[in-house]
Amino acid sequence: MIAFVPFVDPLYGGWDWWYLMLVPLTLLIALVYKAMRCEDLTEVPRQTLVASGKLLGAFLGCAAVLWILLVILERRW
Amino acid sequence: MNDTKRPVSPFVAMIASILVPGLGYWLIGERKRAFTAGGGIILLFVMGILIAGIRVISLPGYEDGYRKYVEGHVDINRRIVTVATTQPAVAVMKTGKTNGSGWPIFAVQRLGANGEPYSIETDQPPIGPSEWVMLQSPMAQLGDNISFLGQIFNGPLCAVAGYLSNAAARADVPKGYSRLADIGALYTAISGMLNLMLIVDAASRAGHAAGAPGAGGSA
Repeated sequence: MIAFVPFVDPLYGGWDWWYLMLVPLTLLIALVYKAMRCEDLTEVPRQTLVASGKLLGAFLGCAAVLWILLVILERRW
Repeated sequence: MNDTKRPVSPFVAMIASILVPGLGYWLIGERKRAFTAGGGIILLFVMGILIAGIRVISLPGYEDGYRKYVEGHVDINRRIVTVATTQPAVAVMKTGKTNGSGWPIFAVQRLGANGEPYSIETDQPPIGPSEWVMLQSPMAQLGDNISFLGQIFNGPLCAVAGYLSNAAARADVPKGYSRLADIGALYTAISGMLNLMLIVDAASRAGHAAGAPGAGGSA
């Protein structure tokens, strides 16, 4: 077996829980965005959690709508 | 950490933010913002590379770590076809020899993988010198490396990672094509787009601090 070298080789691609990587992504996007927009930086942690929660909610909402569409289309055809 | 505002030209703040994410904020005295926003962007970029490997940075105009060129050839139906190569033709010379069918044989001088010239004899030479694909079809190359459009806004960070990516490709390091690798590419592209926002915001805040109208952000 060839040794895995971090930052050089890609992580194992067969991992089924890849979508969990969206959680740190949304957290970091929210952190950077709120660090830019908040005048009072003590507000950043709370606003980051709220914004990343909204982002994840939007992701879940989109996934639910697409899943429902898929179920409807599968039943029709 | 002391956040003392200092007057800095918006242009200087912009250039500083391009060079290092968050440096523009640092120069105008907003050091906590520089650490949080700049650090977040660098962390996103580094995490993207950790997930998808260094080859997630795919420089347009390169293939397997080498510059990609195109050149025209005439096929057996006398049509001009475009052929891609990583070893460009720099000179085509007549040899005076012919093959069994009476076709003339040419000596084609090419540049090898490490830049040294070598010559081969062929009856199907390129019709002109090879051209780098980024000069021939830049939009098609960018289209093939769409995440690079986001990654480029990380500035020198992206350039260094691109150089290392080419070195890794030449050493036969595999490129990730899994869904997880796509997520890694997303991390690096989004970090670049966030840095573009940061560049604009740092220049805007610098203008605001210097007294320019209509600048500065709000929550």
